[in-house]
Amino acid sequence: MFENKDGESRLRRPRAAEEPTLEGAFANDGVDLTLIRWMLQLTPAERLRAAQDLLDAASALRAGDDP
Amino acid sequence: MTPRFLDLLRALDRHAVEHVIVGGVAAILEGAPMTTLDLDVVFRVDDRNVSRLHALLVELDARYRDPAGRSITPTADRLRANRVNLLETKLGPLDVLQEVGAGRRYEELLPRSHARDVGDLRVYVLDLADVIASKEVAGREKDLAMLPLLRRTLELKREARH
Repeated sequence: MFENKDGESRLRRPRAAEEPTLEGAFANDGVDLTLIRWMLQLTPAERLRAAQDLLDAASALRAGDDP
Repeated sequence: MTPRFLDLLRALDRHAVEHVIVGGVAAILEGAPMTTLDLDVVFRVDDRNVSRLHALLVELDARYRDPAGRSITPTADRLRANRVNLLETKLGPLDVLQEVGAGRRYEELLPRSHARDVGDLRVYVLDLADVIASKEVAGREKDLAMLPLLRRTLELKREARH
């Protein structure tokens, strides 16, 4: 899951600076730290809006609408 | 019905209901990347505030989410008597609680909350550490499942402060 097409772990530092890395992306228990860091950059109002948008999109999908 | 979080918070504010936001919405406002299907608040249990809360719930056409399917409206007496009031309103699910965790009521929670601005609203949100503690005390599987995410969020918040 965390390997590139050459079988190299993406959890290690990439060879070239332009390659994406997963180093530091996950906690040991699997929690995605990138999402937490993203949320912490938002204001409380923006965080609530993000949660609301997610619910609205899920609701629209359940109803068969284009969210 | 999908909850309208901001509209629910505005309605609480409009009726001047003294409350602290707890549960999933508190975790979201404090930065946890998650979602929830209801708004949980702990309200001050005194006559004036119960009266305000009741007026709000009348306006929102609130009913208890009754497993038996009965249509039971929240009255002031019920709000005073029931520690947990799980309600459906025209703005979505709203849980009005007298306490969370190990019997912690509004008066105890307010000093452990943070004033947060949500748009033009000032709300009081339970500290994330206390949200975690309340879920640990609740001990339900759905609460325990959220703990790793909430604990990591708290860690990163604390790191960001230093």
